[in-house]
Amino acid sequence: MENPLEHFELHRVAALHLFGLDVSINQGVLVMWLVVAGVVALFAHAAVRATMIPGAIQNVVEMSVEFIYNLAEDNIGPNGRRYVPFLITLFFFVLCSNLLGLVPGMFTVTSQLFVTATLAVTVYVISLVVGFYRHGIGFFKILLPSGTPWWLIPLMIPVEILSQLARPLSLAVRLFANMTAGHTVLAVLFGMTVTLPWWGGWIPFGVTVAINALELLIAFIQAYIFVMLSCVYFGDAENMAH
Amino acid sequence: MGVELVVATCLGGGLGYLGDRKLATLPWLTLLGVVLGTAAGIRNVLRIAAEMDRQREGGPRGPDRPGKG
Repeated sequence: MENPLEHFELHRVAALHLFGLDVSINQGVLVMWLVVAGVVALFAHAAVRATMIPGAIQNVVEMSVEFIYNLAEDNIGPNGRRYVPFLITLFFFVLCSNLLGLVPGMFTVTSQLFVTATLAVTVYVISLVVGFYRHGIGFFKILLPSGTPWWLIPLMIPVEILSQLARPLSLAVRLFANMTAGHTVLAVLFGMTVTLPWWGGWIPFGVTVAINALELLIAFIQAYIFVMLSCVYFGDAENMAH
Repeated sequence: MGVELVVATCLGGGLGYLGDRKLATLPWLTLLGVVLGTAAGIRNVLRIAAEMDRQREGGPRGPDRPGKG
């Protein structure tokens, strides 16, 4: 049976060196370009030919935009609408990467920790910038929940620093782990399908189909959770939740 | 949300271990870091749970909303 982790490996498609850095194009980069092109095409189609009575694609796009809009308004507050363009970009990039990864033979970019970590760190840095911009140096108060008894302060500050540092990390690891785990299961089951003789292969193959349907659900849920938690972090920065 | 706990605990332990390596105090900072990291993870989970609760009830979000620990 072949190695079920093999399809996570990156292979160089075109070697490219810029300023002494190895920025070679691998298949992950190609898929990301494909994702970006697909999302742009989807939105362009919906926006350019926007009609009063929306067609199928326009309907889907408008519904998801409204969905993110409500999510931002609920979680961030009155300033939420300023984040909507970023959140929609994030949502559709993650969602389309997840969905495209489910196409057999495709590469899943969200199963690369580098990709998810880049997204998560971007979200977290934006929330820090917004926090310091809105509240100045007082944003450090986020490290000290209100109503902490004085004798707990030396304990609470390190705990809060750790919990802040864990945010981008858990955001990145959650998406990466969910995608990697699901695709590993699929690869193992499909490996069994190929390896077993004709009378046994259909059992793991049936399970593969079922798991693929489950992965479809997970693709949506993970994109939603990623954006929802980004909203929560932005909301904390806007409103100083403590 | 289990990821939250694992990540925070590993982060605390990892930072503690790095500190231990620097200061040659081996088990102590790691242990402290794991304990603090676990606490931070539980705090993050509670925070997200409260957030989801509020969302389901449709409460408002603003600077003046009732504080949660």
